[in-house]
This record gives sequence, C-alpha cells and structure tokens, in this order.
Amino acid sequence: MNKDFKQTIKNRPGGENLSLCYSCGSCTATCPVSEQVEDFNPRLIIKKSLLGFSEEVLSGEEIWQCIQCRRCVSACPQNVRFADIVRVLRELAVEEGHFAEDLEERLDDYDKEVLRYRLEILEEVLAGDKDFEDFSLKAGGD
Amino acid sequence: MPDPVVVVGGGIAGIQAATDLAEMGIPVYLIEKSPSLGGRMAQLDKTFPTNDCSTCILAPKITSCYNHENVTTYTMTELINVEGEPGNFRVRLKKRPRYVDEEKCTGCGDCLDKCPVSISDEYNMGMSEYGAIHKYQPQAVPNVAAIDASECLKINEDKCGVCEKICNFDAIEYKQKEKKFVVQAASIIYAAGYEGFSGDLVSDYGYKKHPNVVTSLEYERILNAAGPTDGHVIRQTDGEEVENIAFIHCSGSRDRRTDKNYCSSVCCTYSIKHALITKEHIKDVNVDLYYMDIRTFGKGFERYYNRAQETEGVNFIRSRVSEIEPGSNPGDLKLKATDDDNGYCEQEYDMVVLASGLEPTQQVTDSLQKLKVRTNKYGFVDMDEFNPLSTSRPGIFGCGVVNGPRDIPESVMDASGAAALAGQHAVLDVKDMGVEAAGDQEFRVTQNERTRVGVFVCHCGTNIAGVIDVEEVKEKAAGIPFVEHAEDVKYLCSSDSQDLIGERIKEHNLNRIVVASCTPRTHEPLFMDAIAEAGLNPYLLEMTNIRDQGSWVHKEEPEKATWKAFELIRAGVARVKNALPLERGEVDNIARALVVGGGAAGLNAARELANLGFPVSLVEREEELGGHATSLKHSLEGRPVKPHLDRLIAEVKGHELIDIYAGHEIKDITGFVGNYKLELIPPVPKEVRSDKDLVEIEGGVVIVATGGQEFEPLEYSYQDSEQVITQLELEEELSSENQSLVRDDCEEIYMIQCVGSREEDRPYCSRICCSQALRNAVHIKENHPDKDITILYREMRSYGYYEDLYRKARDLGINFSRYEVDNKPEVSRKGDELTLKYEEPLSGKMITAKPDLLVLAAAILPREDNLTLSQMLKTPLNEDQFFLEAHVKLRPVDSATDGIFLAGLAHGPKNLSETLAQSRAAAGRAASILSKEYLLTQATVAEVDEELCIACGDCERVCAYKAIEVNEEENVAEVNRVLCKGCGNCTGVCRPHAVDLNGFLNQQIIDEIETLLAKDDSEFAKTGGV
Amino acid sequence: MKMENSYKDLSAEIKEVAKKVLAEEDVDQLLGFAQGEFSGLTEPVIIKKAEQAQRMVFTEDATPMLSKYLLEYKEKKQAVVAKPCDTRAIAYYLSEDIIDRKNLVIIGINGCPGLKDNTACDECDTRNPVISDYQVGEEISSAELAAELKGVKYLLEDMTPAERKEHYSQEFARCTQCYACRDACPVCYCDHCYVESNQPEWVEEGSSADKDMIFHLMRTMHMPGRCVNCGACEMACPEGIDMRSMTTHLYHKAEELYDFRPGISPEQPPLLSDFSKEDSEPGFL
Repeated sequence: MNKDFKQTIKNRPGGENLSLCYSCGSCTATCPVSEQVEDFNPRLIIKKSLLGFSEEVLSGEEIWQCIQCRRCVSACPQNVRFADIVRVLRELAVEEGHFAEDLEERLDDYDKEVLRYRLEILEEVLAGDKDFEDFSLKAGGD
Repeated sequence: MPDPVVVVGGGIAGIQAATDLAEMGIPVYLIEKSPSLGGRMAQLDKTFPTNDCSTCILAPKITSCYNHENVTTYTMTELINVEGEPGNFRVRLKKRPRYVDEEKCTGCGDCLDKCPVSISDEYNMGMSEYGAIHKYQPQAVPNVAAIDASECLKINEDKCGVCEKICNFDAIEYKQKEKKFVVQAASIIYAAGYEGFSGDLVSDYGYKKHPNVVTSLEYERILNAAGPTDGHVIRQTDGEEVENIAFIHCSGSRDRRTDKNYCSSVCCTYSIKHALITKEHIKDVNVDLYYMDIRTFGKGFERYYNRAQETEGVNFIRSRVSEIEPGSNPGDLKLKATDDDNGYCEQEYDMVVLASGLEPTQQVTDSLQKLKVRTNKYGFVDMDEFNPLSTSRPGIFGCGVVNGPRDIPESVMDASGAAALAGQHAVLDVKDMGVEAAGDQEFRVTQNERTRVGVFVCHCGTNIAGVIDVEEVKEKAAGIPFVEHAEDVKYLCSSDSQDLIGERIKEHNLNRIVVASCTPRTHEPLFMDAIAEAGLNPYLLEMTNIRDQGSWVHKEEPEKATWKAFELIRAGVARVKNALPLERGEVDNIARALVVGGGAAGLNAARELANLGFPVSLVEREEELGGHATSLKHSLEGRPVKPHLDRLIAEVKGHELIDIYAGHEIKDITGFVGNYKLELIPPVPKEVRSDKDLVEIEGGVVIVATGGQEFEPLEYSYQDSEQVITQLELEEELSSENQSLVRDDCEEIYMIQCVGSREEDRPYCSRICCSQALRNAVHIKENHPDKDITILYREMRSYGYYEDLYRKARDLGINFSRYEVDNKPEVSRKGDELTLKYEEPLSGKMITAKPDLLVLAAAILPREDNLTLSQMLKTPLNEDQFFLEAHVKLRPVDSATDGIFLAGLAHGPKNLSETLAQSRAAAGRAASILSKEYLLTQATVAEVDEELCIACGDCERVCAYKAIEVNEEENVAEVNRVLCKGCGNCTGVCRPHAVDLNGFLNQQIIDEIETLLAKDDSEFAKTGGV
Repeated sequence: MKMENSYKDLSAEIKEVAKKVLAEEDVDQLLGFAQGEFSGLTEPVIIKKAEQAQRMVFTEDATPMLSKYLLEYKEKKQAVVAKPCDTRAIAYYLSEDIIDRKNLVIIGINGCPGLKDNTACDECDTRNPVISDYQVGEEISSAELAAELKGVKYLLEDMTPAERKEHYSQEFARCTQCYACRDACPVCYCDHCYVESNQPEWVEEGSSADKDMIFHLMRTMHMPGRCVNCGACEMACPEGIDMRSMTTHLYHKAEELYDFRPGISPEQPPLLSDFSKEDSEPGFL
C-alpha cells in the first residue's frame, strides 16, 4: 500500500477532489461502461486509489476503458469529477512505465475514428435505406 | 398580568410553545398563515418509531391549545414586520380574508360539494382537488371553510354564488377584506416550519416526467386513509396496487449540486416508517431502500431500523441512485444503482418515493430577513450552539425546523425551550399565579334521574366505517335497554361533533354517554370535556374501542366485526349505567424546582427557571459543578467549551434564586407532583455524620439531569494498551494546555466508531460519536496535516449540518472505510506495537495497519444508579435503562410520572447543544406546573369502604405506588388520592371487597361481564356466527 | 405407629398449666375445652378464674378452632389452648397484623393426637406448635414426623382436572349455603363477608348448583397461602361434603409451586401479596 498515492493524485490538476468521495456509487450507477463491463467500477477505482493500491490501479486496463463521457461528473453529489481523475491516473500510469507514453494520444485518435464511423452510419440510417443492424460492429466487420 | 407573546406558526412546534406559555399564565397570540392549525404533522399519516397515527396524537394537542383561555388564534394571518425591543415589540400582522365568517360558520360542509370550481388540494400535495370553497383539511381547526379568491367565480366574475345560497348560517362574505393590525408583545417565537424539497430538485430522478415517482410528503398522503387514494397504495397512472416499490434516500440532501449539502436528519427514519407501513397495507409487497448511511440516531430509532431489517420483503441496498428511466411496462420505473459485488445494477419498480429533505420556505427566508434574524447559508435560522433557540435578534426565538432539519420530538423540545426563554420577557409575577380551570364547574345532579344512555357511533372516516356497518350498529344500539338515543357521526372528534354531543345531551336529557370509536388513549379527555361543557359530569362517559379492537384487527371479517362492535356497545351500556359522578381533588403546590444534577443540563435548566422567577434548589453529588462538559475541549463546531461553561456556572452560582447543594448525595426522595421532598447527605465524613446532618429540601417539580457515563470498551486492546483511548480521553488530552497532540510521535491514527453501541446488548445509537470523531479528526488534521487519520465506521451519522463537517474531513484527506458488525476490525498488541486488521468491504481487501494511536468511539451508557433513582422517584426507565419519557414523540421531556422532567444524557445520548436545548425545554415544562397555585388530583382513584375493611394489609402490599396504607390506629386502609394511579391492584386483591375503584367499579364490571355472557337471541348474534 | 400423647395426659397437663396461667399471667380470659355440664360432649369454654380450670380437658372431640374465638375479643388479653393448627392460624393473624402478640398467651399442644374423623389430622404436617408461650405434651421430632408422612398423598393429588371437576360437582351438589364451613374456618374472619353483599351482589341469593359453586370457588380463592389445613370446614359441614378436597387442595398447591406454607412464622409475608421474579408461573406460557 502506498499511502502517498492519494496525495499524489490530489496534487495534480483534475485530481483535487479525489478524497471528497463518500462511496455513494452514483458514478458507477450512471456509467455506460460499467453497465457493459462488470469489472469497470469507478467507485472501486476511487476507493482503491484512496487506500493506496497504486500498483493495482495504475497497471490495470480499467482506467483506459473510460470513454470520458463525463456522466460521472454530473451524477456525483460531491463533485469528485471521476473523469478528470481518470486522466490523472492515466498520466501516472504512463509515468510509472505501465503503459506507453503515446497510448493516450493513440486512444484519443481511435475514439475520433469511432466517432466518425458512428456519424456516417447514423447519416445512412437517417437517410432511410438501412438500419443499425445492417452495420456489423464485430471485429473484422465492415 | 404578564405581557403577551406572539407565536408565529401553527404547526406542532408553535402549538407546543403556545400551550406551554399559556399554562404559565402568559397570554399568547398564535399566528398561522393557512386556514387551519396543524402544519406538516397534520399531513403525516403515521409517526416513527411507534407508528402512531399522526393526527390522533396531534388533534388533542391542537384542540386543547385552541380552546385554552390564554391563547388567541389568528388563522389566515401572516407576520409583516416587528419593531421595538424585547419586552416591548410592536408586531404587525395581516389577516387575509377567507370570505367566510369565522363566528357564523359551523363547518357543516353543505357548501363544499356544491362548488363548481375544482382547485388543487394543497393539503393532499396537489394530488386531489377540492372546491374554491373548501376546508383546508378534514379535521381543520377552526372548523371553518375558506374561499380561494383567485379561483372563485363570484369574487372574480360575479357569477355562481351557490355557497352563499346554500349556507344555512349566513356565513359567506364575498366582500371580506384583509385586515392589518398591530399587537404588542414582550417576545416572539418563530415556528414557521418548512417545506419538503420539490420533487424535481434532482432532475435525474425525472419527477416531472414520471408520474409514479412521488415525494415523501406525497407518499404520506397516499398512505393516509383521508388522502387522495383513500389509503390505498396505488399508482397515479393506472390505479394498480404496487407490488414492487423503491425509496431513494438523500434525494437532494447531502448533495453539492443542489447546494444542500446538509443532511435532512429525518428521511432515513421516515423511509423506514414508509417501508413498514407499506408492508402493513400490502402484505406481499417488495420494498427496496436505496441509501448511503442509515441515520437512525434518535431514541428508539435503531431498534426501529433493526425491526425493518428483520421484516421480510424489506431490503436495504447501500447505493445511491444515479437516475430514473422509464421501465419496460408503461408507468414502471428503472433505477440505476450499484451493488457491492458487481458494480452497476439496475432494477425496475412500480413506484418510487423520493426521500426528499427539508428546507425553509421562501416566505420563511423572506420573513427572517425582514425580521433581521440572521440565517445560515442554507436559509435556516443561524443558531449559536451555546445558546440554542435564541436568534441573533434579542427577544425573538426560533423553534422547530426553522432552526434546521429535525424531527418532531426535537421540535417539541425546541418549543418548550423557546417558551421558557420567551416567558422571561413576559415578566411573570410568580406570586400572583393561579390558573386552574376544572374543579370549579357545577354539574347537573343526575342522582334521581331515570337512566338515559346516549350512544354515539363514529365512522372515523373510513377507519371504522370501511369495515363495520356503522348504520346497522347504530340502529341495533337504539334497542339496547336504557339507551335513550343512538346516533352515528363521521368524525366524533371534530369540534362540531363535540357540540353535537352537547346538544343531544340537552335535547334528550341524557345522563350516561357511550362513545363507540377509537381508543380512549387518544380522545377520552376530549369527549370528557365535551360532555362537561353540556353540564354532565365528565366521568359518566364510557368509550368502547370499535376501531383498534374492531375494524383494525378484523379487517377481513366485516360481518363479525360489525357484530363485535354491537356487543362492545352493549357491554359499554351495561358498564356506564353503573358509573357514578366523580370529582377531582385539590392539592397544594410548592413553587420551587428541584434540579438533580449539576452538569450542563442541570445548570441550564436551573438558570432558565430562576430567570423566569422561580426559586431553584440544585443538587450535585460532586464538589465541582459542570459534569462531563468539563472534559470537552471544543464544541462540534470547533468553538472552545470552557469559557461558556464557566460563564454558565458563574451565572448559576451568582443567581439569588438558586440554592446550590454541591457535594450532596441523595438519600431518599418522597412525595408526588407539587410536593416533593429530597433528603440529602451532605459532604460530612461518614464517621462523624449523624442523622441530624441530613438536609431536607422541598419542591413542586423534579428535573432529572443526572447525566450518563462512558462505556469502558472491552475490545480492541483498550484494556491493556496505552495507545488505545476513547474519544473522550482524546478530548481530555486535547484540552490540556499542550497545543500539539500530546503524543508527538503519532503519525498514524485510527478511529473506530460504534464501540459498544448498536450491538445486541445495547441496540441503540450513541448519537454524538460520529460528529465528535469528525471534529477531533479535523482538529488534529488541521494542526498536523502530515498525520494520517483513518476513521472506520458502520454508518456515518453526521446528521444535520455536521454533514458539512464530514465533507471537510474528507477534503482534508482524512480516510474513511466502512466495516460490518459481523466482521469487526481485529486489534492486537505486541509490546508497544499495535496491529489493526480489517476487511474493507468495497474492495474486499484485508488492510493491515500499525497505528500509533487508536481512538475508540465508546458508547454512552445510562448511569448505573439510574435504577435506584428511578425507584426513589417512582418513574420508570426504558429498556436501555435511560429515563423513560411520557410519550416519545409529543412529550419528550416529561417523564412518565407527573412532575418529573428529564434533561440531558439521563434521557439519552445527545450533544452539548442538544442538551442545552432540552434543559430549556424541561424548564419550560416545569414552569407550567410551578406557576399554578394548586394542582388537581385524578378522579379515578381507589376508595375504601370503612365498614367492610378488615385492615389485613393486602392492598398496601400490592400497591406499586405506595398509594394505599393501613392506618393502624383507625384500623382501616386509606388511599392517597394524589399518588393513586387507579391501577386496580388493591381492588382486585381485597377479600371483603372493601376497596373499589372509582370509574371502574366492581358493579360496572360485573354487569359488563354478565351482559357479554348472557345469551343473546338477536339476529345480530346469528350473523356474528359465534 | 403414630406417636402421640394420650388425651388423658394432655388433659391433666392442661388443667395445671391453665391454673398457672390464670394465676400468674395478667389475662382477662382463657379459652379452652371442657366436658359439658349436662352432656358428655366436649365444648369450648371461656374461663376467668383459676378454679374453673379444673373442668378443662382435651379429647378427640375438641373440634372448634379456638384460635378463631380470639378474634372476637382481640382487645382483651387472652390465653388459649392451641392445637398446632391453631398456632399456625395465630401466626398467620400476626403476619397480617390483625391481633397483637402482646395480648396473647399461647398454650401449645405438642405431639397433637388429633381429632376423631378429621381427615386433616391424617395428613397433618405440623403436630407441634409453631408459636407458643407454654407447651403441654411431648414434642414429636421432625424425623418421626417425616416418617409418619411418608407416602401420604393428599386428597385428589392424582386426579386429572376433569376428574376433580366431577368430584366437586358431585360433592358440592349437597351444599345448602349454610355457611358453617366459613364460620368454622379460622382464616375466614372478615367482618362483612362478600357473600353477604348485595351492592354488588357477588353471590346471588338462593341455593342452586351454580350459585353454591360460586360461593365455594370465591371462598377457595381466598385460601391460597392462608388455609392452614385444619379441617374445621369439613368437620362443620352438616351435609358431610368432602370440603378439604377443594380448600386444602390449594394448601398443597402453594407448597408445591412456591414452597410456601402459611402460618409458619409471624414474619412471613402473605403468599398472594408478595412475589419474586423467580416464582413459577404455571398458568402462563
């Protein structure tokens, strides 16, 4: 356990409100990723960070699963701003050498591509010829 | 004559304050802005933790306040402004027109159904409608209609006018004008109450989008038999009964987004109440409660929580709800939340209730501003914790929720305390008191009259009539021998029904009355007053309970319930025909208060009583005054306690009306209300002490302020390690002159909450430990940011504004982890090293720590000698050995025994500020007795027929109150009417039947039993199927 | 073989002690038994002079409970010849404070031989006075008493409630509400008995199976912890009803359930107005 982990996060911009969390679970409840992925649990990530399990938090893939939709930020009654904390954790994870330096940037780029794809599909569906099922989202698909 | 006091607000707080002041002999102007007294409590269905019907316990209080000769009530009236200073205020008031003449209207209700306009029913939270002319609530006091001018066709368009045409009493006044007037007052009590958060305060809960999402106040109305759904828990959308319902705690409270970070204090307990009552309505319903911490910190509430946990079909889910979305079926709701194992979870429900919090109304906020009363950031009155109930403006006092979220007992305590303070400005002339109503009244002599019994059967709305065929019962009752008149009435307890009973008595010359309705516990005094008003001795009344013992328990068998109601009335008639008129006696009252205990509670109560003008004797067993407060360094808001305590002690010592007996122990207490005698042992060494040294003091009331004691933990290595201390010991270390923490080498500090509390042998919450731990942790962390502090808790009960303290603690980086009661932290010691291991529930990880200091939040225990004191005083203790109050909701400082009042830890765990408020309440309540020249005794006491008595002494031996004793010289047993409680033990044990019990005479009971056992050939009996 | 003193010896001793008491103690009167002047019957007598003591006897026909007569004259200082059961009644009176110890001189009969045809004497567990100032006869030791009582069952001990009810119905059918049982009973001493009340009328006027039963049940309800098992009620009954099957049933029950025997000492608190938390509660679940 790394007792200073909490303060390290709080010292970074975006991480100031980490310790305001009172484990209510609103972030996990509202999170669209949590809804799909059982292991992605913002409340738990915060708890582990507060407890000092830095190794576990920073080396895991969970912090990269966040899609930065920021629903957690508006759902949180104590203004903890989990989405911002995720960014801080990503920074630290890279600094500690768990992940490549450019992973964040590459992930952002990929997200933009996914977004473009979504907008294209949406346009076609709204135009009327096809529906969402016609565009397979499985790996290796269209 | 003392100067008047103005009480603003006619809810339970205002009513209590007005009553206490009136009982002290002070004239009161009670101002209420709506058309009826009652406030929020009148909107509640049931009250926790007893599940008593709210109106049932409130209505008698409203009636006695409204009818008090010292109270003048102005409804439809608002406070405009206040000028002047304490002792001499000019209060500007505005009485809005109700367009109905209050003197002429009888509340008959003829106009109500005829109004063509429908408007939203405010009392039912807008879930139903009533006419433009309406009664604000079914049991309105005064029982007078009111017209909403903005909707009335006649007032606006000169059309309609039906109500005026229909009214038999010429009471409609379309041209009524508003009245502005000024009253003079010595002081003002502000009790204007609150409103619940609006349902869409948290927009994610979709209150406006989903009709089946309701607020807690709306749900109270749904549960209530007089509500929009007649008490059926059905959905707005399709009228279907709910099978699956969710309650969301902290809806808007403890939330920075709504700017209401405070905890509304009552929602946890009332949600539990809702859960239990819903189960009573619908046996198989599933109830889920979504919460963060269950804050059942009040007296008796932990047991209530335990009971709910054991109730099948009631589930507690520790998670907040992030949003509510439409469910799969129309009207259904989907809640998104978490569960401890899997993270995200969602669940569907038929109905969702938002446990909405409490906030001041806009009107209250504006008023307080105009009154120049300082408010806190949440809009509530800003209270000095060392001077609770006073506001920033001298002479104006706040009570009830205007001071901050609190429940009914606390509001009632506030009210009695505010009365004690406000009364001080009214200049009581203690020597010139003498308020006693009953006892002087002359009653009709019924001795030689033919027995004429009047039977009145109540519908109680649908409470009785929903199961029992009241009409049939009335008709059959008319045929019972000796019954002269039988009648059925919708609500016998309403004030016009009271008048009706009086009229019938005169019309038919009735001399015995049977009221078939609810339990005598609620309304017996009311009906006694009603028949007394008509000139009939009030003890010629019999109440038969066809509700609790009829419609409520035999809901599934209406025919048998109807037969039973008739049988009970038959028995009641047999009983009442043998009743004899009874009288109350007078007894002297010593106008001095005896305060037992010289801690904060006792000192404060003594001071307020002395300031009111009453002499006080204060007894304290230690040489030094101050009690446990001397160990406290700072208050929960972080202010030093010592200067305030020292000032209080100095004021008490310097007061000419207070005699202090420090270092004195109590040898014995004898007597009864009005006449108490304490025998004290002075601080003379035992060897040289003789009986001559004993000190005797006399008084009319006793205030028990003996305090509590700290539990000595047996767990967590407390007994064998210097590094494990209690929170109180920590405070003592902190309050020593050393500014830094005594133990400089403490880098890591752990605190464990609930040590000794909330366990099987002590199932109560010690209330102050969470806020105390937070305060101490914050204090240490602020001064030593490098120290690492972790608090292990089961529920974090930082109620009210202490929630801000909790947030501050988290902001400072203090760690919080939960633990489960069946998986407690393990602490072991090896030499100087402490090891603490616990399982953190969310992550499932076993955490091991080596704290330098471990602080335990030890339980607050009742004092060991409470039992001895309770036996001397003849007043009971509750199941946890704290002193028992007369009624947990509405009489929180009165003990179960007349003339004895409770304050501070002797009553139960509470913090310093709450203790000061409660001790002021004890002073206010005590003052209402002390200000009377003489007291009246109960009439239903035992009586001895000297000719039959053989002085065998059995009665004396079985009496629990020492109220009957054998007089050796006269060779006969004698009853002390003041002590006698009318329990009947002596009556039952007497072999020659020399003792009889007035009001429950042997002849009455014999006739009642013989009537019940006699063969009944009526058709009625056949349907009874017995 | 039952140890007992002979009536002859007892009579002789009583004469002597009575003479002594009348001469030396400052009593107003002495209650005892004497042979009838004209009949051979044993009758209760009040004597005031030492010479009259010559007539005194104790026989197997000395049925009336002399202890009860004490209550008639309780302001006077009295001496009384008391069978062991009489002394228990007296001890009971003292525990209820209805007579002053200072006004009593008790002449107790040790090793009481009992009365003829009194079934109570067959199961008597006392046999020596519990309180006395003078004694006549030889004491019976507790070992001897225990041996005598071995195997003695009290009436109806083995019957079921239904059987008992049957027994009572049969026996008490003969009752005529003459109240002899009440008048004979030493612990029935109310100035105004409940059965004579008419406001309220606890027992309806007239005799019938129901009404008689009410009278007996009410009287029996006054017996627990008070009845001293003297058998006077049964001896007095003109119909020969098995009275003790009801009244002293409770005497034995009190002992069984609460280890309580009335009249053992003047300080003993009465059974029904005293309790401890450990009391058995057979009537409750």
